[in-house]
Amino acid sequence: MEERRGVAEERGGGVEERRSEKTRELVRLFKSRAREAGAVVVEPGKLDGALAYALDLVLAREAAGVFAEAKEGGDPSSLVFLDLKPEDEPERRREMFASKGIRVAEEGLRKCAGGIDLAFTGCALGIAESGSVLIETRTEDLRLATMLADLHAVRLPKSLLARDLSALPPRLRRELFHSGSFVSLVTGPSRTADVERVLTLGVHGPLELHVLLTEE
Amino acid sequence: MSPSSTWKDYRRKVSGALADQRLREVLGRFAGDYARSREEVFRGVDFSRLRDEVSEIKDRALDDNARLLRRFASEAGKRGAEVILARDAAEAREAILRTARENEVRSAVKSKSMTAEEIALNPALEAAGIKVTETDLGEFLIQLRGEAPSHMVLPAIHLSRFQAAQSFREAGIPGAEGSVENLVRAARRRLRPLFFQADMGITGANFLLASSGAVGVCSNEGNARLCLSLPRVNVILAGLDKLLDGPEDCLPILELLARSATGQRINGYVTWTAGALPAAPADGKRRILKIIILDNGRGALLKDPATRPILRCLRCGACANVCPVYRLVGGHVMGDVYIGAVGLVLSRYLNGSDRSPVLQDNCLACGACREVCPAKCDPLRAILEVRRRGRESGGGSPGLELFSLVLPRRPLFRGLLRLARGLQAPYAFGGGIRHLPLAFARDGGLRSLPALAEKTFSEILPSLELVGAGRISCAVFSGCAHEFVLPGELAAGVRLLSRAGVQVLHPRKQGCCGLPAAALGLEGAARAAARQNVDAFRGVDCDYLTSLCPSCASYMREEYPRFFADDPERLEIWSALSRKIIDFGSLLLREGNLRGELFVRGGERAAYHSPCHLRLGLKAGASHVDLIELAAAYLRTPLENACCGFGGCFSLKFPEESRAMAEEKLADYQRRGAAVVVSDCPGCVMRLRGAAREMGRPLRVEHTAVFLESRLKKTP
Repeated sequence: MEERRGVAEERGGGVEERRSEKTRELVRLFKSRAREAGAVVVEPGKLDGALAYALDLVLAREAAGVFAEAKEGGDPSSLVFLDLKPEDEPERRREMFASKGIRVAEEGLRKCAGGIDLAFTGCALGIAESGSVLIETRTEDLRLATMLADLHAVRLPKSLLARDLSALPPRLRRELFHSGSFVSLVTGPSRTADVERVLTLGVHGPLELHVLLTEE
Repeated sequence: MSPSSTWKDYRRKVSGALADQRLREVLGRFAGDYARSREEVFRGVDFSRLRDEVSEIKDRALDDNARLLRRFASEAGKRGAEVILARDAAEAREAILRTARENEVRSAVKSKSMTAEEIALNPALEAAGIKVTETDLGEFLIQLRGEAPSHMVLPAIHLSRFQAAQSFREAGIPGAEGSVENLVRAARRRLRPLFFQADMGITGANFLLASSGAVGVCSNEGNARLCLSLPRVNVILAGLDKLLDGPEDCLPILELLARSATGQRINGYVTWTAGALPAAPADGKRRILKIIILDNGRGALLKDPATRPILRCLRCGACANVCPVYRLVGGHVMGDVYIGAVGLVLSRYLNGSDRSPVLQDNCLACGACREVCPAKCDPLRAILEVRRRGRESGGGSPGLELFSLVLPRRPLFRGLLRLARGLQAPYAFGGGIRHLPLAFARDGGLRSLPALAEKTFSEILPSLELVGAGRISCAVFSGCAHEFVLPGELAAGVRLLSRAGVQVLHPRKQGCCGLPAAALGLEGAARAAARQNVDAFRGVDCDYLTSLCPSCASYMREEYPRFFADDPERLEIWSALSRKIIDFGSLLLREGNLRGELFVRGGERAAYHSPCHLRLGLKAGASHVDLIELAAAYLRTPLENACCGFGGCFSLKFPEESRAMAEEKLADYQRRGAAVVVSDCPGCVMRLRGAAREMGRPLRVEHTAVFLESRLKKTP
């Protein structure tokens, strides 16, 4: 395998191969750095696989009897937020969760003081060197979902992986041009070491951060 | 408060902290953990390049501060925020209280902000009937306990989980017992609803970006994001030193901030937000965003080239994490609002000029802060500058004035010390004396000096029978410790050099290097000492210039050029000499022609004490243990690099702290089976030897020169 790639490059071709080798290396680096920061990183394939992974996370929690606390209206069943674009066939995706008895919040996250069980969101960039994802939130519901969810699953297409922080300024400049913009570089789940310097996850924000590296 | 009662109160605080065994343990463990995780997280990172970048970015922004402030206000204004420049703490408090009144605020949530501590915001809000809740876990804990933060990044580092759980129990917060995780979950349950209920959210900021009026906030817990997102009224409070131009300016800071603060690669959450967030759909009311930019003394620091570098500070706390004094007494003593080395300076200049006048003395001048600062603030230089100004504005004593008069006058200095030597006999015991009859200064000055030797080094020198012309020549700067107190060490050193065929030159007219004067803030005396020494070495033709005291050598190399800024002739002489400076150990390794077979090798185990001014000041000493191995079995110990607590005048001003540092080291050396401790600095040797004697520890402490020379085989 190694040898074949070498030959291809010598022939002056292999642009695709070089690109995919670069991606593979960024994926390796991202995985190791994000895991160091306490995130779970998986490669679930495409969007379908990513959503199936998220659904499994919620079902596994239910099976273990874990739910976000004190939900609005007293309904204890799981509550998730799905950040999907129109081309993602949002109706069908929501139905996938609803058919398992999981409620899907579409707006009004401000009412969810007790938190939600899972937020499934996209991101604008992944930074391999620091294991971070850049999350731009133009709506309040999306913003709150990333803060209030017990579990945050972030879909990161491999094509959005950058090596280091130098990829940030162009995105930040564009986003911060708008009034009311809110951009977060997120690395791992919420954490504190304030008591005896014991690292403890989930003090205010998500207890777990799952990064789903997808192929598209 | 009078200076002496302030001084007494402060000494009492120091004693209290030293007596707190649990605090000592926590801080000691933290210092070790931090050093390890810092080393780990900086592996493969070009710290030196990045901190050059950070300091350049900060300098550029400080140069351009006025324009950035205007631009920031205009851009933030376009995006629906109101920017208020507060000249002092009172104005900042009033702006926040006014915002609260106008918007009928009854409760507020806060995320960690040192600037809010600086302006004493919480008491002001509470006095106005507003309930304030700190949401950073550490801040929440100390708020429950009515305490102040003891670290800029880890505010509750002084507390144990048991103390924390007890505070939760007393506040009626259930479920915090048993583990840190339970405690964290209990805090999450208690605080989450408060973010929703609060009318106002208050946060600090790490970056104010002028190009877009955006604010950048770093946190790990995620509480700052909730504070910014949920309440209908938002206040962001930041010093004007936080202004930058665009997002690219944040990058090197992000690379270094968390690495320096906690040994993490990057903060968990870095959030940038521009302008007021849109109205929540539920109530439809306009969101209010006020950004308060605080001067409170920063403008004055900015205009002054000597203090300006301190404004580069990123508030990472690294200077506390490596400080030997912080490690011993913690942030309630080592700082005021701001903590650590940089805190000693900021606490003096922010909030008016009369605060914390004695804090700056509680510094060893070891230079550890200077090494780790990610923004090249050089807190040590600033501390010395504060001391200097303190003396200039009348903070000295008659004793200090006498000292500054005597120091640069070699014959007078020598004569007085001779007189002292004659008078000290009745007071001397065991080689050290408590009170020299010659009291240079009473309160906080030089109250005791070690016993003076029978003969000074200059008096011994002619009897040493050194080689005349050698294959190479080396000029020696003796320094006060070796001239007056331990001349035998220097004699041993020059004999070793002479043995190896090095011609030793000792210019007669040299005097004190001036470091003690500079450390006391006596600028005039320090300058006079520098001139005197350059004149003494003028025309001396040598290959090397060495001293057996790395404090003298590093001080002279580092500071002398500053004294000759307007004296090109001396500057030129000094520049040429300065390039020849080499510490004694390095010189021996290079020119000493030493081999193992020359020494009588005993079975004893010898440990090393690395002097701060050798390792951090002269950047040398990494292979000096090779010298120990020539004549004994070298024993590596984990506290080898820990400061001995000497720090010159520091050991006279803070004898308890100084002794505690020495004791900690000696206990460790002895536990590990060392018989002798070898070091390269007469100050360290005196400090460790004195402590060993006081504690009755059977450890010998020797200067490398004596250690080697006394073990040479006798030539037939």
